[in-house]
Amino acid sequence: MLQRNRFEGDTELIVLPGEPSFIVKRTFNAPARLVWEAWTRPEYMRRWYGNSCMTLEVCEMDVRPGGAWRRVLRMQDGKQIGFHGVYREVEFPQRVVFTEVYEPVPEHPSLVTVTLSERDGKTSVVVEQLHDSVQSRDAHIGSGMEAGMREALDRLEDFVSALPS
Amino acid sequence: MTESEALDATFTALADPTRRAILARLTEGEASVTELGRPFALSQPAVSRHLRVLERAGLITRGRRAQLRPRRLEVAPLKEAVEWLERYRQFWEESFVRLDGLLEELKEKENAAKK
Repeated sequence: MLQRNRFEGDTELIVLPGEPSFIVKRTFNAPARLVWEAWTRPEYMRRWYGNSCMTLEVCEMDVRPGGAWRRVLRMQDGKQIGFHGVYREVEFPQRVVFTEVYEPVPEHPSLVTVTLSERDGKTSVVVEQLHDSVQSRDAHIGSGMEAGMREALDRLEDFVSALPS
Repeated sequence: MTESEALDATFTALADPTRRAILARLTEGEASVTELGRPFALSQPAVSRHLRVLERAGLITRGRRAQLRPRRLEVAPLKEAVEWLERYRQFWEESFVRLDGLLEELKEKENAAKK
């Protein structure tokens, strides 16, 4: 896999052939009910969602089918990016499905499915973000990742590691 | 090309198995159109079409040597594509490391409450 041999960390990124989606996978050393809390309570999500360059400035969520959510990420340069959507399915503690509108491109919402499966006290989390088309995925991610695929990525990784910089 | 268009061209080019095989061959060194087409049951025009897609993406360039104009691999666009994907993954990884910390705290709270 692309990411494993390059960087620290266990998060997998999977891009499937011909599908306008990204899948992110990770296992957490905690039972599903706690992972669920961390994903569905704003005071918890505020503490983890984001990174050294992007902080979560607004986090509102009304976790029930038909309930709305909104998040605003603030970049280091002060620029803000907003996302919002509506919960479609809420099944404690295993599945939550919601729409996600990237506010700069509001006409193309994506559909995000977060699936939790607990085993031996650990919980694997799969986040699938499905866009309505390759174009809107591109707009969302600010890049043009058309028809990316795992095989291509593996190849890519081979090229990059094999070639002189 | 904008960065977005460049990445788009790179991934479009990589989406096809024949083109990936051509790129793989070029990692061994430059090659002529005839040499590149040999492993595939493809007409020369078909091979040339694949090469044009790769050229438009900036993944290969033509050498100047004689009339053969051998193709060679260009590394920069591939690196950009990998870097973009890595930034996306990294965002999640950094978030998840923080989530690990929060979950530890929640577990401790839960254990303390049981006592």
